[in-house]
Amino acid sequence: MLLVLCGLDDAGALWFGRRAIEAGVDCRIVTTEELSYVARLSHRLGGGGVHTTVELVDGTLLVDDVVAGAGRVSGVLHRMLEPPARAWQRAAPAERDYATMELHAVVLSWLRGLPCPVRNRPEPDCLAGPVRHPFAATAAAHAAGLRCPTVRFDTAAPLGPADALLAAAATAAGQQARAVHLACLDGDVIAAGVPDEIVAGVSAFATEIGAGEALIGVDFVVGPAGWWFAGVTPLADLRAGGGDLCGRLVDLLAPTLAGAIR
Amino acid sequence: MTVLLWGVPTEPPVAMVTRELTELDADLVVLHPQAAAGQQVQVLIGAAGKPGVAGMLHANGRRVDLAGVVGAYLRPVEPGLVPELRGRAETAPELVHARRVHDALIGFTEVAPLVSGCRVVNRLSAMASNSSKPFQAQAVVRHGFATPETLVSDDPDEVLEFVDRYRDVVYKSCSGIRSVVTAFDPTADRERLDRLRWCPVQFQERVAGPDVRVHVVGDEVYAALVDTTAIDYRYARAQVGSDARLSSYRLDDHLAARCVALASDLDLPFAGIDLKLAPDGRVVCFEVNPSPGFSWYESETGLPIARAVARWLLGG
Repeated sequence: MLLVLCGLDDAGALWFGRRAIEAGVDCRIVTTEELSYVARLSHRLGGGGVHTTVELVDGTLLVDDVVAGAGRVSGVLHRMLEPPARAWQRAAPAERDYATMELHAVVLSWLRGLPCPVRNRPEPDCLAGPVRHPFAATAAAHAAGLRCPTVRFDTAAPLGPADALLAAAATAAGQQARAVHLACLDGDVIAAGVPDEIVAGVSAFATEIGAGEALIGVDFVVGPAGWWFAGVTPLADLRAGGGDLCGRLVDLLAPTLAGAIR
Repeated sequence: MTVLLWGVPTEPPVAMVTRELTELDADLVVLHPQAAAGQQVQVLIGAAGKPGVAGMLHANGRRVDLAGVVGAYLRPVEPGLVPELRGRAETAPELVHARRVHDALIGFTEVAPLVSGCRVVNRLSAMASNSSKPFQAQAVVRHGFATPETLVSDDPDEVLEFVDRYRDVVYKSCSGIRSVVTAFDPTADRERLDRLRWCPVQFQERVAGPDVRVHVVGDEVYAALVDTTAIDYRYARAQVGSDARLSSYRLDDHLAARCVALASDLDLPFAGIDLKLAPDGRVVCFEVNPSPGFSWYESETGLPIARAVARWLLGG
């Protein structure tokens, strides 16, 4: 079984999950909202390793990488940006914040400890996977050989760091520039018509930021002055990656059904 | 040799590192979170097409070239928690400005170690590993330490089984939020277990033996042995009526090397590692604190931790 964990508003992940099901892949979508109201959550660590049990309210029982009565989980597409804390949405802020932090801690450890392939495994500073501060991402892109604009952040100006990077890239790319989002899975750019040097640069960039085993989205602004690095996200646009990206994900996360989607 | 100290100057760890840096003739710039209104920061990344960080910092009546900053010691306060800004609307200009200063300093301290070799204790992104103690425990095990048998659960029956099995059990937060380690009372706490349904709680076997707090600074270690019968030695006075007694402790070389490797793996040049020397020979690691409040350990034992941090910041 391929498991998709995502927010109810993650149209890309829901699209991927539906497409996988239509192609005959044994795929189960579990939303952040469902995980917010589980029947049971148990996470154990110690001499016996890491073990997690999640029981959903519909009776689905997930024990480590096995779904009771349905077999082994072959892989997980994980897209949750926030921990499953919807039940605390209307609680007093201090209580809500505490519970959210605790749930973040459990989910982080759970998904890091799963024995099957997970894209993306969470990182301590971002549940959805590898992420870097825009300044650090720019430095990594530079090191990877991608063309980067000069980013100016000034406490007297209105733009935040990510917007300052995007604005700088747009300025550098020149007039009539367009935004291009590239999905990169385990270091491979999944897109056609991308210049070789950009493909190589994105691959090196993924390594630089520790995303060699991750699905990331890398943003560029492309114009008369070439391709300019504009940012990175751990939530790649799955629909932009199309059938090729879906196929690669299924190959990785449900290998017995390799080739089911293209 | 400019070093940034980002935190409340009177807070003991900041004050102690400040004193040591002063004795080492460092050029110090103290960035008090309460003084953000008077601070301005400009950061440039990749100027002239070259990787690197440049920019200016205006604070305390000074203009500081960020390219000349060799080190930064971080104990920042989230702007919304600064007393003068607490309760202000998110759109209040003074809070907006404080957040921008905060963002700029985070950005600078994230990128500077990568491109200019600036030494940062510790980058906020690296500190995040402490946001999940079970996650940290997985790293701890990779370095040959034991972790206590742990259950994080929202199921009262499962918790009672765990208590039956390990008898002596404590509970505490599993996130980075500070909590007092408390013994589970099978009688008094049983009634409250239904509340677990709302949020899982971390329970652990209580491990006997002395606590050892290891401060790692670069590749140096400074360890303190803790003598108390309290469950949480930080709160010994409240729990057993008297403060814990601390003394310096010599780690064997192998254990010291493992502590250094663990801190390095977590990308923490400065870390406070909480160990327990169990009677059965296990060295149990509870957590790695990424922003150690070391002042108590130093003042009680004389361990020169602040001096080591100051030397490390200056490249020593």
